Amino acid sequence: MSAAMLTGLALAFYLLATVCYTAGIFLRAAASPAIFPISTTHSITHFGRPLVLAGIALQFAAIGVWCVTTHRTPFASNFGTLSLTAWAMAMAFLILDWRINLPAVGVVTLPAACVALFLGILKSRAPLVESPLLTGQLVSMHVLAVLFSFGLLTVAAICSALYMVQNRQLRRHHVRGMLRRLPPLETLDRTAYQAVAFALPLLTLGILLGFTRVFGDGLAHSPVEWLRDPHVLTSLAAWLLYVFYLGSRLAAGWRGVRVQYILLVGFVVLLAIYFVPTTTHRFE
Amino acid sequence: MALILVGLSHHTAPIEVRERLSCSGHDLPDSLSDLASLPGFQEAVVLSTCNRLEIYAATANLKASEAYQAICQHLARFHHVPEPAFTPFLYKKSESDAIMHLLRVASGLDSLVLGEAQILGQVREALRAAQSASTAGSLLTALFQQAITSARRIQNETTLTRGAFSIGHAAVSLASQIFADLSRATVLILGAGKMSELTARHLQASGVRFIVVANRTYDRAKAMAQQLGGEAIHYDRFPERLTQADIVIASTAAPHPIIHRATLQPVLRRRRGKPLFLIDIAVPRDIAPDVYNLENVFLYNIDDLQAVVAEAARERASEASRAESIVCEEVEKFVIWYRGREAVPVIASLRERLEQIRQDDLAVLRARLSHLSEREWQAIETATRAMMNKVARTPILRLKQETEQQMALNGARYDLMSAAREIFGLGNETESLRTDEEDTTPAKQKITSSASSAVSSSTEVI
Repeated sequence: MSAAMLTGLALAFYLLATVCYTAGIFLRAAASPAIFPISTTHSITHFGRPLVLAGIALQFAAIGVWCVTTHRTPFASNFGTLSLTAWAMAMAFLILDWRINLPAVGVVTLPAACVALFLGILKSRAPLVESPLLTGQLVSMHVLAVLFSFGLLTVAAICSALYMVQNRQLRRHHVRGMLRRLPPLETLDRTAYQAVAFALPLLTLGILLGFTRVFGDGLAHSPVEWLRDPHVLTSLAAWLLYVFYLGSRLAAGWRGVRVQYILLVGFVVLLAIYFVPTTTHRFE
Repeated sequence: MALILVGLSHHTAPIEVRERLSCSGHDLPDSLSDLASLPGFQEAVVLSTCNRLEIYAATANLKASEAYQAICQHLARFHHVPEPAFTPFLYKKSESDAIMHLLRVASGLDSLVLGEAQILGQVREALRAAQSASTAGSLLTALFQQAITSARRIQNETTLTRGAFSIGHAAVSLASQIFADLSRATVLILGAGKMSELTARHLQASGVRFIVVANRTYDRAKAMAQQLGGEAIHYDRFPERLTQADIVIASTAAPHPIIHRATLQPVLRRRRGKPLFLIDIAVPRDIAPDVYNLENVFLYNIDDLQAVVAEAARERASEASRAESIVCEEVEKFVIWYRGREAVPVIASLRERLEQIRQDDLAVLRARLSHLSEREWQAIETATRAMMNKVARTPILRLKQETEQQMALNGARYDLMSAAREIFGLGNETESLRTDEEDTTPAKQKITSSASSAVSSSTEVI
């Protein structure tokens, strides 16, 4: 079975899991009167987790098959990179869901992972990148650390977005429909914090490994050339924002709406990393 | 056997009447024994709550009017209340109407607060008391169990009994949308009133452990804090406690707001974004409306909370029709079982008659075949018994099936049962049953008219 087929199957499993989480929330919300929060989850929600797990396993197999058949690391193509990003998002969600049971977060995170996977499948036939810059364990660890931190930070941003929705409806005295199934504000705030607490060391490690590879192996003719790259600058800006967030949480004990804004802005900066022009991360 | 209900409730009687006829726990066994000792009364269950008193009885060989009269006399005698003082408020029901009534009561469809779940426990308790007093027989036990089953079905299949119905419930529900763990939340009560106490009790029931009470009269704050297991503070110290509080219940008699934007701003800076849930149940309001716009503050006044409760009540009312149809289904099931019981004496008579024939023929045979050994006689005994059972099996089965099917389909009279009586000459044995039927003809006609007619419930005030 080809990597694309396995990835397609994983996509189907993620979609099914999304359906389970959504249906669970919808059915519970429909079965509960008025604006009241629903304490228990519908039984259909319990199918979600095994489906996500199956999707993760299939994606793992797909990435393995891809590496074996192409004799390259997964980062030698957009397919591999996007697939790993989706994998990291699904893993991050699964771990958090296991700990805190957050179907509402799954309803948003899994479709986001599906979009990444779908884009990856579309690019699965694109030519492979041949670049000496992409060889070596340091590069692999650099990319893996960065992608996994992106996965966790995406979950954190989703929690923040849900926090803002929940905050808004509570302030407007208008908590209805499926939105009743949103987790409490404190849970969303804490989950976002925990996701960032795990993501930031990974992001730091990723950036440090990148610098080590560039400067340690003498790949850069001039350090300024790398430091002027908008891609690197945006990454550093994102890193600073998350450091500020974590610092404000840990040192000043900040919580609530304002810190959610930091996370949302941080996520926008993360997305910008993919789209800003780069002078040093071009491998064609 | 006929099923009778006599009762009064908040729908028909004022509290002054209800409290005079109220039957407390220790009076209940005596009341039940007294009822069961009435002539013609075979079973009795008394359902006594703050909103209703209902007596369910199974009678035999007793006209419905006589049964009602006997219950009225019992109520007057037992509660020392003259009959004219309560009879105008009584309703009487029989057969399917009584069955329907109990099933609706147990489901909370007849309650003051539609769908309240407490009544189910009271119904269960009434049955248990009657069983302890040995006044609940097979009919009333089955009826009450059916009512409990029906109520459980409604709980599972509809949202009638779910959701908040009081300000306290609404406060707890909203708090659960803000705080992940209420056991870690601190509640600050401003004003030691009844409403604030009730709201605090709801929060306590949901896990809140830390309660601080502030009141202008310190002694009242202390008394309430003692009751709630919390801490009392002097009223002028409440602003400094706002920093630690997660939920504030304001219910003072102050004529002007006691918490303003300016009061909260320094508090919120110290709280560093920690959410603050303000419940203002005072009229006039204790918390100024300009607080609404503060970040991380969730202010709900009495109108906001009542809107929440009203929303729940509206949704619950729409669920009532679903609950009513479940009650109808359950009534139908019970009526089929109930009417099926009438085949029992016919079947018993049929068995008796066949056994008599067998014994008579065996006696004649014994005289003629005296040379047969005991072992051979045993074989003949076994063979004739088996033959009798085979002959009786199909008619008995058909009788049971026909009774149930006819009831379920169109409620027709039991033609097959009449035929069985005719064919086997069982008329005399079921005479008592027929007399009983004649006494309660109007009610029985209602039961047997159709499945849907069993649904309609009529109340007759004596």
